Amino acid sequence: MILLSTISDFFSFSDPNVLFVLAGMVFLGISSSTIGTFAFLRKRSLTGDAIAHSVLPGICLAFLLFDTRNLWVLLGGAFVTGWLSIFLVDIVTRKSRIKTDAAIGIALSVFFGAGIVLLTYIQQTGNAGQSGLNNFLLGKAAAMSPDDIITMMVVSGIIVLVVVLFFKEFTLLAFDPEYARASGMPIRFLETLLTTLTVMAVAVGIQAVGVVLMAAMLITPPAAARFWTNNLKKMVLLSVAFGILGGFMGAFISYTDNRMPTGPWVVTMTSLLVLFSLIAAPGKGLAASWLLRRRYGEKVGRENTLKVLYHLKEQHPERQTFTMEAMLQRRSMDPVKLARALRSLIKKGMVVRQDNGYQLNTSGEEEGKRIVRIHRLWEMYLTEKMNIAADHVHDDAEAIEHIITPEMEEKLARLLDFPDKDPHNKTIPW
Amino acid sequence: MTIRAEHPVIEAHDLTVSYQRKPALWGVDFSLPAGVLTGIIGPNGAGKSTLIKAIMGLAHPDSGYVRILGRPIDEVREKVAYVPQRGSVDWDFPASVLDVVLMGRYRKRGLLRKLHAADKELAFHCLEKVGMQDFIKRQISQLSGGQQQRVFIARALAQQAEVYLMDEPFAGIDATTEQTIFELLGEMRKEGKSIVVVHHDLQSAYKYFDWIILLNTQLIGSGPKSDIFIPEFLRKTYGGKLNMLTSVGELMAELEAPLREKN
Repeated sequence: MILLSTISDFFSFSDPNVLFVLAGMVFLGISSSTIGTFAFLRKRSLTGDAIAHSVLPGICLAFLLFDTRNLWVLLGGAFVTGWLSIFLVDIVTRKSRIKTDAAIGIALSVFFGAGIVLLTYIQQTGNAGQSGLNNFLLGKAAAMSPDDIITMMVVSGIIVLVVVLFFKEFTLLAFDPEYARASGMPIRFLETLLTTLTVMAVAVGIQAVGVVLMAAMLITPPAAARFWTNNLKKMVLLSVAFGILGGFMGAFISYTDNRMPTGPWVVTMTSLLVLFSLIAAPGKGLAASWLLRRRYGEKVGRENTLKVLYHLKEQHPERQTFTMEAMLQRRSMDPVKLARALRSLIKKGMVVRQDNGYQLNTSGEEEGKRIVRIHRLWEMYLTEKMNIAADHVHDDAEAIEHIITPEMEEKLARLLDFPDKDPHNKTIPW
Repeated sequence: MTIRAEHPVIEAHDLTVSYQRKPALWGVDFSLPAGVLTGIIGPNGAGKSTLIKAIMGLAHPDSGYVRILGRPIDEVREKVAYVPQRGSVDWDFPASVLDVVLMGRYRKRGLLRKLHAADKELAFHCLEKVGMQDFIKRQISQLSGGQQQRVFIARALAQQAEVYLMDEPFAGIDATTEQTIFELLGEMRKEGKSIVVVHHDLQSAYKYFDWIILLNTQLIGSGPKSDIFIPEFLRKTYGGKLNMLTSVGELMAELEAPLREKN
């Protein structure tokens, strides 16, 4: 009940502050998820992390130099050091033997370390609390002023505009930079532009999420979105939606308890969205592939059961019904799975339950015959056409019999000229 | 042996390219006539891809230069189409077959401009030429190797260039696709296009190419196939590494000072 009223309080915007926070989260989602999609596809997610950590000394320096908390001034400082770190990463990778990942790690820790030193210094002057500078570390959405929101709006507007204008260039740069260069695109310019936009997105986002976790705002929404779509435009839109959703949820939690920093909650929420996508996304999700495997397993179980019944009937043409024990004796199977397969086959009308066991129906017998036929045809194919010894073909046929389509079966039969016997001299039933 | 072409479409002058100071190409010098199908042939590590990249301006020469249609590559990029190795990109990218072929039109439309309906039509025709028109909406991650290769070729066709440079378009594809692609290259040659292909199979090389470049870090031969495709040159190309060159190359890799003065 308390929760419900808090939710309704929150979303009725009775508190004007809530409106600012939500607007801030919208702009944060737009700017970081849009640009993050390209960083993600270019496999440059770590670059975003380096930038995020490197803006801290810039913010502190700007504060020390100009003695103001005006966001534009602080953003200017953030921009300078954020850019500088990426510039250094670039130089170090090109001029030394240090590889990109190490260079990024070095830049990240050096700049962040410097930032913490400066922040501690500012705190010791007793100024940090009222300046709210420590909020830049883990983010405090509630501390955003209307002016800050306007700044975020302008910056995310710029980012969206540039991405729309350069959409096809950024796409090609992400997919095939070498081809882009070969076809004469200004690669250097485009890369610089993307880095600049990333720095901008980070700089406006840190107030809400904080420098420590800002990179997650660039990475997690696109990572979640990638599971749901194979279209780049849809992926950008979806990742913006995920970014905003995560932002709302995180802001709400930090609203319910004022001591909660916003950043960790927002990032936890977007990470949950990734986890959810990883499990639930159609096709690519774990649940979907688990279901697919399970269905296939059940199909194999049913087909093997029909096959066993067919084999038993082949062996004892005088009998109609066979017990589970007889089936288990003929083929080693998990009794639980056999019982399940039999239930399913009865439901499908392929097998009938009698007093003294189970009996194949006409349709069940046809299907059992088909599986046995494919099995023996495949064994023929392997021995005749592939020169594999007759005692080496059974296991392969066990797997292949469940996947061969009627068209392939026909081709196979024609290729082998409709043989009567398999390599083990068993009759191939037609 | 180098046989020169009269009005060359591509000419390389004393081209030397190295990676980490170790030369991958050494003093390569040749010229190619227009409207022929050229094969760059050589063993692994012979510098074939490096040569294509140097011609495209993607690898920077330590010395020497390349002219295409008589000009530096940067002035004629619109007339030159490049087909990278298909392994050079991550095919798990959110794009359809059509999206990738349309990338061949980006440069023509220029920065900030939208593609037209005519671009899509052209892309469709290019896919038809490589026999991929039924896959137009297919997600690129679901393509087989041969299909990926054909999509890359269709993208180059969409550039409507005069010169085509292809890096190993026949690597890891089935015989039918190879046949399809070679037929297509033959048709392109009939239309007067100049095509340079990095290739590793000697048998099909003799069958399909008009002009052959034999390469093993050094240029072994360049000319019409009947002049170049002879046992002596082939032995030189494939008969082990050229010993002196290799050992000097390794020395250079260890050298701490710059190899050459900057020009």
